[in-house]
Amino acid sequence: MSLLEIRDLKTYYRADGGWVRATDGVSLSIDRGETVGLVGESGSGKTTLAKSIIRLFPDNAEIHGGSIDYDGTEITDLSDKELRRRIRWQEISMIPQNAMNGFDPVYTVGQQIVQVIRHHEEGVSKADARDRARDLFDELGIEPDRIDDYPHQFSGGMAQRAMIALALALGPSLVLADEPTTALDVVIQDRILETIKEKQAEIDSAMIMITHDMSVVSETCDRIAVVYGGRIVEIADARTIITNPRHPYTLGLRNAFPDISDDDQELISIPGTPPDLVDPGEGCRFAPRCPFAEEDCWEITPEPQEYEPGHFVECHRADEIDYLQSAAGEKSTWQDATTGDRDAVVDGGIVDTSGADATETEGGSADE
Amino acid sequence: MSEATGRVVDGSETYKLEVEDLEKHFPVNSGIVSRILRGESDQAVRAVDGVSLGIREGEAFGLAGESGCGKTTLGKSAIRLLEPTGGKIYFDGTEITNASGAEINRFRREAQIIHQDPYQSLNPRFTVYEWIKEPLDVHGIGTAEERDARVYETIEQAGLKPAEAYAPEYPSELSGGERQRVGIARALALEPSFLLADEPASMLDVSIRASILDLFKRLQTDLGLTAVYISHDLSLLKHMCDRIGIMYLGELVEVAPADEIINDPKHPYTQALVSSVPRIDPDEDRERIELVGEVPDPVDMPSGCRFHPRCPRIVQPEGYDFDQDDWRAVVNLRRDVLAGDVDPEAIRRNRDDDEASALAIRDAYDVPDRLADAAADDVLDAALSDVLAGDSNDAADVLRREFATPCESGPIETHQVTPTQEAACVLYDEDEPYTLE
Repeated sequence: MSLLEIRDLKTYYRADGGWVRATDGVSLSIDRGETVGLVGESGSGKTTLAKSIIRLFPDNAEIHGGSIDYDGTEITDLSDKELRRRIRWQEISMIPQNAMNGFDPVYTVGQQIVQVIRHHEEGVSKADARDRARDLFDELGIEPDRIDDYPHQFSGGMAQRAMIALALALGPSLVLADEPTTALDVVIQDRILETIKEKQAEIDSAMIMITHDMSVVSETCDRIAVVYGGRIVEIADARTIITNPRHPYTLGLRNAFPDISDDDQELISIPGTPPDLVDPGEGCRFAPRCPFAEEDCWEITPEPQEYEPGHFVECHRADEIDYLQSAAGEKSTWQDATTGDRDAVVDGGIVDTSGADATETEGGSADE
Repeated sequence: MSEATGRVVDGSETYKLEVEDLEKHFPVNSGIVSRILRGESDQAVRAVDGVSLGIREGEAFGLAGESGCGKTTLGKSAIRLLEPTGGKIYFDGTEITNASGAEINRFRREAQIIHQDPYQSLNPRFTVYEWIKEPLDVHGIGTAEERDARVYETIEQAGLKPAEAYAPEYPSELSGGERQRVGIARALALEPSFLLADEPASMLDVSIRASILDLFKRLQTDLGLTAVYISHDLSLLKHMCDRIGIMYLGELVEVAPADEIINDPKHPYTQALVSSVPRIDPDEDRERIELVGEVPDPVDMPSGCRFHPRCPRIVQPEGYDFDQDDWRAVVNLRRDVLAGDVDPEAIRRNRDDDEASALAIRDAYDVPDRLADAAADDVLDAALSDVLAGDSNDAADVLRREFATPCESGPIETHQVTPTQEAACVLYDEDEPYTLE
């Protein structure tokens, strides 16, 4: 049985124009010890999806439907208090994008880790909790004595490592890592990803890794889910997503991402902007930007189809894999694509992006 | 070195922009309170510390390095958006280091900057039209009609078509990519010949980055612009640039054609940097080069090569023969002995040993129980005995003298490693046999 089983999850944000459907019918299961990457651009809903699991979202967000089964418990039925007491940190923890903001500036980092440990585990003395915090620091390559430092005394890389220490302190079964290294330089990023992998293997926890970086998911994840317009449009093992994707959006992302090992790569951007999630309507949400969109794509919402075992794609034309893969590699394919019924302009034209922005600003769930 | 100092290459190629020994130091503690409390401080953050570099006419040059390495400061100082504290700047062969008045105004029209954050670099109260027109008004270019025409022309040059639709818009109505194009249009308004783009795509979504990069490429080709791109993203620079320069702690450590510097980096720092970039291809096995510690404080610069405290290829002392990893470990231990930071008692406590020992100290620094080179081991053993006996100064003297490395002293020269690649590293000093390969 899977550790986590999300079925048809819908998380909406209340906004001026109605509900922003940031996560709109997502199903995803995660096995013990497995790492699943969520990739997609800002506003795709990847962070909302992850935060929905432990309900770490702002007041204007609501789970509108679906279920989240965590190890036999339906956690959408738990009260906020129960969720906090039983699930957060000890079962499912989170490594935020910016660790500096994750810590309270008026307490030392050690005090905060001790507090989390003692809050969740009864009968642990302060001294024992401190020893554990020191051990964790040591394992993550930070001087144990620095647990008495305040967050501002840490460099960005160190703060991120301290946050990992906190997230792993209670040996959770699932870690949600939200762009854990995006703000860091490449040398430190590399070291931190390595540390996360090692610690994760040690405590045998599963992980959801949210990022826009194709190379990071390729190296760290077992499976990759590509998120677009509040839905998982393609999911498969990492190798398949990178080398043999079927969804035009996945193909587009792959071609837009600079590959350091490729001497003659032609970068191709995906014209247009992410869809308005207030009233997405029927049809494929990627159709307005998709160079392969046909009549059906505009009218009928594609259902996920399984192509190889575990490889699901939401696209009416995913059977035409050879054609899609070769055509998507041509710059002209994407340049000639009109952006649907909108003005066909470079980066999406003058369109009202307030709907998409609502997810970002009012929802406070900026992806980037 | 000859390339970096002459104004003319091979008597034919000219540099568009050239800096010689450029230096930008920021004073520390210059606030009035600290002046009163602590007296005047002569400490400085040496953000850019003696950089010589020539940017060729029409080329795309990338400046890379980790945050705080000085790449943005170098870029801004080179076009005098920051006043350098030393060195010289030449633009089109004319020195502009101290230019003022009409001369600097002319230069400011020629060299334009494009900022990183399209969400913060536009004035929200200006329409696209007003924002792009402002520099034309400031510099009093042409007649009112000409300025008006120029605004529409640059909006289109930046790929925002039709220009009439964009001109009356406010930034809040535009996407990130469109805002970045407005920033580019404003920079183009004065018909510059040089662009400095500071992380021009890092705030944009991956899906549209490529279109902004394409725009830069097209502008360079169509308008014959010379451009310097500052970025921490090596994959992106490799894609964009003819040549790349790598900075570390205020210094330029390597300059080479883009493909060569990524595929075959020469400087140990560049090698480590490139090895840290995750690879998309699941079949590519990347060998990561581990570095010691983090980038040091730019106020307290290491002597000699600034990278030597972290360098995995740090040169071995003459007369000894270490395994390179062991040597690196010994250097770490030596550094702490020299700083008086080795506390045998603390090491004992951490390990729960009964008594402090030389073996425990070695172990704490990943130094093997016995070094393969017996003479080197004797030196280390004697020093550790001194440390255990409390004679840290004696230990420091022995280690400082016996295990001196050329990396920690003197100015480090830049060597022409291949006809196109230059690196500031003693490994490439042909007069000294340091080569490890």
